Amino acid sequence: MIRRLGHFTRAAAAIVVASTVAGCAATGTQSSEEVYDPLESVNRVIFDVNQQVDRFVIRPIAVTYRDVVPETFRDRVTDFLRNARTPLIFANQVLQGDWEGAGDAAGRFFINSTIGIGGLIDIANYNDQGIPFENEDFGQTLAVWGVDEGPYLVVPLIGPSNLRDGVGFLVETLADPIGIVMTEFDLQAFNYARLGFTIIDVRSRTVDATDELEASSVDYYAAIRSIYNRTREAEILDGEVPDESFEIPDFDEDLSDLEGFTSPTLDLVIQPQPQAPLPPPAEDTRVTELPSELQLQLMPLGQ
Amino acid sequence: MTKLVSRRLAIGRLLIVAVTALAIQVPLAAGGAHAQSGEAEAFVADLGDAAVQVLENEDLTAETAEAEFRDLFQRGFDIPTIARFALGTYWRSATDEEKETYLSLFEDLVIVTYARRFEEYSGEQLVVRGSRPEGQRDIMVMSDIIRPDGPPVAVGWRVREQDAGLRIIDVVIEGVSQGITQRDEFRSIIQRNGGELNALFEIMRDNIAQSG
Repeated sequence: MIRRLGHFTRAAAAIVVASTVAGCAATGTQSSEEVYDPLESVNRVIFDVNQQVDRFVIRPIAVTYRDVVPETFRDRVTDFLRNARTPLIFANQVLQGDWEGAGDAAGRFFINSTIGIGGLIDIANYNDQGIPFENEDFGQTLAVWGVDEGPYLVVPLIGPSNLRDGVGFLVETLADPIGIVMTEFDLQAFNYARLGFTIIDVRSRTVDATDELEASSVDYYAAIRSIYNRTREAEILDGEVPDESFEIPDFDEDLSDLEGFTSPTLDLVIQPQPQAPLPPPAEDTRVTELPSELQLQLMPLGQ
Repeated sequence: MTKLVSRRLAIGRLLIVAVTALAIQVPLAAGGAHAQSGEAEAFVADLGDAAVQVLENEDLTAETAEAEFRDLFQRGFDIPTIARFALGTYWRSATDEEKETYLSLFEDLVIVTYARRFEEYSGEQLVVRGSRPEGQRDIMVMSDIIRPDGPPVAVGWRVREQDAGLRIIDVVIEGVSQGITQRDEFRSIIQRNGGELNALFEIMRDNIAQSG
C-alpha cells in the first residue's frame, strides 16, 4: 500500500500524522518519576509475544551474525545503515533548530557517501576522530517541540515505545528520503534488505546487554520500560547524562533500633529464608512468571 | 618598646595568617563533604584489581574464592543503603519485620547476581577514567570495562564516604543507574499486588533460587 503512494503523498501523510500527534499529545501530564503505562496489561501480552519472536527468530540470527561474520564486515554494515539514515537525521536536526547538528549530519553524509564509498566506511569519524555519529529521530524532534511521551506502548515486533515515539517512527517510515528515492526507482528490495539488516545490526549489538539485564532483573518488563524511558530522555537532551541529579538517602537510622538486627549475612550459598511464616502467595500468578525471553530491542530502529 | 611593637606586629601577622587560613578552609570544608575524588578513584581501581586477581587465580579453591568475594563486597558496597533506595517510598511504610526480610533478601539477590557475573568472567579489565562530584556528597568514578570480545562498557561507580570508609552506593552502566532500574522494577511488582511487599519477597526468593 505504502509503496504505491507517491513521495508527495507520503510526505503529506507524514505531516498530517505529525501535526495531529503534536496537537493532541501535548496534554499529557506524566511525572518524570514514573512511566505512564495505562495499557500495561495489553503491553505485557505484546511484550511476551515479542520475546518469543525474539527468542526463536531474531536473537538466533543476530547471534549467528555476530559470531560468524567478521567484525570489519559488520562495521561496514553499521556504517552503511547509519549513513543511509543520515538524511533523516539531518531533517530532524533542522526541525529541532540544531544547526550545528544539521551541519554535522550534512558533512558526514557528504564525506561518507563519496570518500566513504557510499557510506560503507565512516571516514568522517575515522578512528573516532572527526564528527561522531549522533542519532536523531522524529520522536526526539516531537519531544523538542514540547510533545509529551504519552502512554508507554510495546509495539508488536518493534518493542518498547510510547505514543510520541511510535508516531515518530511511523512518520519516519513514510518520510525517509532514501526510502522514497529507492521506491521511486523501483528498488523496494533495497528497503526491505535495509530494514532486515537494521534489525539484525541493532540486535547483534544489544544481545550482551539484554542477556545481562534479563538475568539480573526481577521484573524484566518493568526494567525495560524504565530504561527505555530514561535512555530516550537522555537522547532528547543530546548526550546529557541520564539519572544525573538524584539523591540517595543514607541507610536510615530508624533501623538501628530494630531489635536483633545485624548486618545481613553474606552467604553465597542461599539458605531457605528462616523468616516468620509467610502469608499465602499473591493471587496474581502473572507476577510470579518472570519474563524469561529477550526483548526484541532496546532502541528504536536505526541506532 | 620597638621590641613590643614588633612582637605585636608579629602576633598581628599570625592572626592575619590564621584568619586567612580559616577563610580559605571554610569553603574547603564545605566542599569537603564530597568524598575526595582521587581517593574514590583509587578505591574503585583497587576493588577492580582485587576482583580480577581473585578471578584470574586458578589455584584458589571455590571456598577461598567465595570468602575473598564476600570480603570484597563488605569492603566495596554499602548494601543497606542500596537496598533502601531500591525500595523507594515503600521503605518508610514497611514494618521492621518487613525491612529485615527485605534486607536479607536484597543482599542475597545482589550476591547471586554478582556470582553469576563472575562465573561469566572471561578476561575483562576495569580501567578507571576519572571522576566527578555527584549529588550533594558523592563521587562518580567513571570507568570502562574492557572486554576481550566486544566494545568496552562504560560503568560509573557512585562512591560515598561512610563511617566505615568509602563505599559504592550505585552502579551506572552505560548511563543507566542500576539503583533506579531496580527501584522501578520493585515498585512495579508491589503496585501490581496492591502494595503488598510479600509479593516482591516471593519473586526475590524465586530469583535467588533460580540463580543460586
